[in-house]
Amino acid sequence: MLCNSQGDVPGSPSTRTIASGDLVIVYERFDSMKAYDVDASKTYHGRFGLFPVKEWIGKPFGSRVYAKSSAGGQQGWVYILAPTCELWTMVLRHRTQILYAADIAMICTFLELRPGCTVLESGTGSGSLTHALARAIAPTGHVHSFDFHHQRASEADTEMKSHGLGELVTVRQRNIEEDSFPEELHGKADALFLDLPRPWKVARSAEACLRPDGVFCSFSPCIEQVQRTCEALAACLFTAPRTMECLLRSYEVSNEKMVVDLARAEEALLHARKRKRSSKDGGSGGFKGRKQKTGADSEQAAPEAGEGASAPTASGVAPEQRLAAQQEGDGKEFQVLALPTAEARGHTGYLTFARRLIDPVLASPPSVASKEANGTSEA
Amino acid sequence: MTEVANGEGPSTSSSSVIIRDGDNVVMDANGYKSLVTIKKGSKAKVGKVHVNLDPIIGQHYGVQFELGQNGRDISVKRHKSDRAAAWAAWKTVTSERNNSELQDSMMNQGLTTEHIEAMKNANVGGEAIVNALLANSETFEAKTEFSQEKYLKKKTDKYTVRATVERPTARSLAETLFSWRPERIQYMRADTLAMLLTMANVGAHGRALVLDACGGLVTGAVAERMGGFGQVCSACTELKGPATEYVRYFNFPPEVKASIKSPPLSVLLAYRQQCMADAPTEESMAGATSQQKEDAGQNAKSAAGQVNGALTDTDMAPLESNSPVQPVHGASPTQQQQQPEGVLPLPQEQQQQQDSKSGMHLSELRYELGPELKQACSSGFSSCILASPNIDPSVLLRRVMPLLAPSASFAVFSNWMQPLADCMFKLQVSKEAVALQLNESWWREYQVLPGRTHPCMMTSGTGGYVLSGTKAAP
Repeated sequence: MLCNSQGDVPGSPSTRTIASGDLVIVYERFDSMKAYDVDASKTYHGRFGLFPVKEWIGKPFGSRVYAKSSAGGQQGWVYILAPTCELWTMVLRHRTQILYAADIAMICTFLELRPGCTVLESGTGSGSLTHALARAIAPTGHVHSFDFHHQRASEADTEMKSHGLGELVTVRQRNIEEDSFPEELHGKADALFLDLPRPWKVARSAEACLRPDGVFCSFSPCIEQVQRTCEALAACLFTAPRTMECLLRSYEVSNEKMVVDLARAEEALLHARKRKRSSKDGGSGGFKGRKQKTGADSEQAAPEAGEGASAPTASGVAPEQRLAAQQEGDGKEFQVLALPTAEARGHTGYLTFARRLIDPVLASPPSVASKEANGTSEA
Repeated sequence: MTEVANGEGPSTSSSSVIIRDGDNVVMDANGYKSLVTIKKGSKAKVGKVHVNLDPIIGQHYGVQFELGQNGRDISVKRHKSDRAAAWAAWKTVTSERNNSELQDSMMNQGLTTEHIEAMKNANVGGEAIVNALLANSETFEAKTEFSQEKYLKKKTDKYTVRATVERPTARSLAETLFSWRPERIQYMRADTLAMLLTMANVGAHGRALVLDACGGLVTGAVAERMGGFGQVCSACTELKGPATEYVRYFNFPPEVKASIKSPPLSVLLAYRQQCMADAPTEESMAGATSQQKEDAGQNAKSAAGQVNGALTDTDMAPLESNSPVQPVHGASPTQQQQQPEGVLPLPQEQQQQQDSKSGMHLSELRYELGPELKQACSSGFSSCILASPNIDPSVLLRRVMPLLAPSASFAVFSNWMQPLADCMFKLQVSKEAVALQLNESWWREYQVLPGRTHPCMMTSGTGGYVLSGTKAAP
């Protein structure tokens, strides 16, 4: 399912319709998504009602499906999306801390992955990165992933197979810090990724596994880990070490009412106050207008439209209403505005990259130093 | 040898890791990167001088060499892993010295420019010059170990050219172009490119639609990630010819080159329209969604024409035909490219172009879509990257949306946040897409040294914004 790995182009998920046994991502709203295995005999219980799954069969991925019935007489809906690595990262069951989109994007690009590459990974963890690695090296490469935790490794292995990635990924139980990467992988890796508490212990093994000019990457939350890793890399055949940090700054987008004509706005406010005094239940001040919602779909409109936004802002206001509000003459205007999300990840970890040294073809006879270097490179 | 033994993939075969005659490479000379084409017997620019690079042909990518003082002889170097000793030494350093006694003076250095020039002419080598400079410095001994090291590095960089030959990849090309020719790639930083590839779900067996105003960097990056499996459709418009300039720098093997096609966007749209005409139910649905997307004023005007299911030419007309300044048919490609991209097709103006089927250009009509692209057009593209920041993303995405398969992932790049915010809001309202995110990638590098680890002093302020989402089925 994931990674377009199913056969050739015409059969890939985007053109296929939903069938029993498919993995879908049920998108309820921007902050509520679930992975779901389609089974025609079942009913999906979501926050917007009960959904008979048999109605999903035969629909294209990305379709909106409706609940059978729901409280309040309003019919709820959800979208059923084709799974991608990014969506999977948002819905997967956390067995460990996971890597998120920004780091994943950086790792895949800076490891210079492309179809055909062989990648080593440890530990597997929740498999968030593993999926993205598989996508980047498919269909001819391979990911060898190791986790020291028995249950985690076997769960991840099962998961990869059920996602149709069995051909691309091998997950094994192994304590890489203590036992190093298996010898059969020496000189085989184009890229190698470590997310371990003591990555410096694996520097020698990484040196042996990476091909010349292959790329090493280690993810560590603490700068002390980075320090020790860089020191260990300096003692091995690595060059061009780089340490970096990357984060996503996310923005909420909403349609906010702003005063654009101060005199008019004041006038409107005075008017409203007068009216309020004269009749007790009258008067809709400009501020109340903020909670307008779009017509018939109002039940889900507000959360739906507020991708990334959480407050009941006027994000669901349709352009027609926007225009109407302007014509009211309250001196206010709707403006589409972006705001950084209030809660943001401040730090995930440091990424340290380095390249495996090569053995150049030298015109002059090799010196003593180079013999040493040969001794430590792969047999 | 090791790489031959493992034959797991076509693109990791030994040929792509060995520098060959005719290869394009990333040349890193003392940290300054540029793009160079290796041609046997001819010279290429390294740092400030032109040298013959024949000795590096046949070497492994990642090879390092030094230039002689005459700027001619290059000597391939064995990498030394001498940083281990440096780490050990620095760990014990506890400098008591400081710079309170240092006076800034021209007299601190005993060597004159004439001395140095003489040494250069005698071709004694950069190391010898640096050693002479140290020996003749009045102040070197009094400096702290840290500033001694800095001084040494500065002088070494000045008098020796140490170069590394990097294999061209999306990563190395993006970084090189960002530091070397950022305007050519629309100031798109490497981390932002990485985000685009990830958020658009680019991978083998996909069908990717790309609008690339970054000189082919994005097209190349997508093609690299797909490795010849699937289709890369780098659509061009009359505003922007095919984006190929930097594609060739990837040294792609033939099967990857063959996977890249550059049809005019209007031809794709016309074919898509034709497909939808064959499936009337789908057509009316698509008409309804595009209606939702329109702005209020326009919506009212055009609604009547769309309710009955007929897609107006407004929706399907080629992008170029809406451009106020129409390129002349016979115009040379350069003339067309000089036309500022800032001249934007505005939605309102589309109204005036209502019945302009003739707006399609002759050259576009001649483009023959291959079977793969026809297939992609009829069933929809699975990934889409729009990296053309001078075209309003709302306008562009509206045009491109019918070409995308349901549940397709898309990512839109812009240097500016506001157009993407507007576009995101429109999509939220029209519900044409879900899982929308507006992100900016934040990136900084660190200097990691014993006792001196800190973020690098120089960093780029912004690498651009990315709007990403998943297309909802109409």
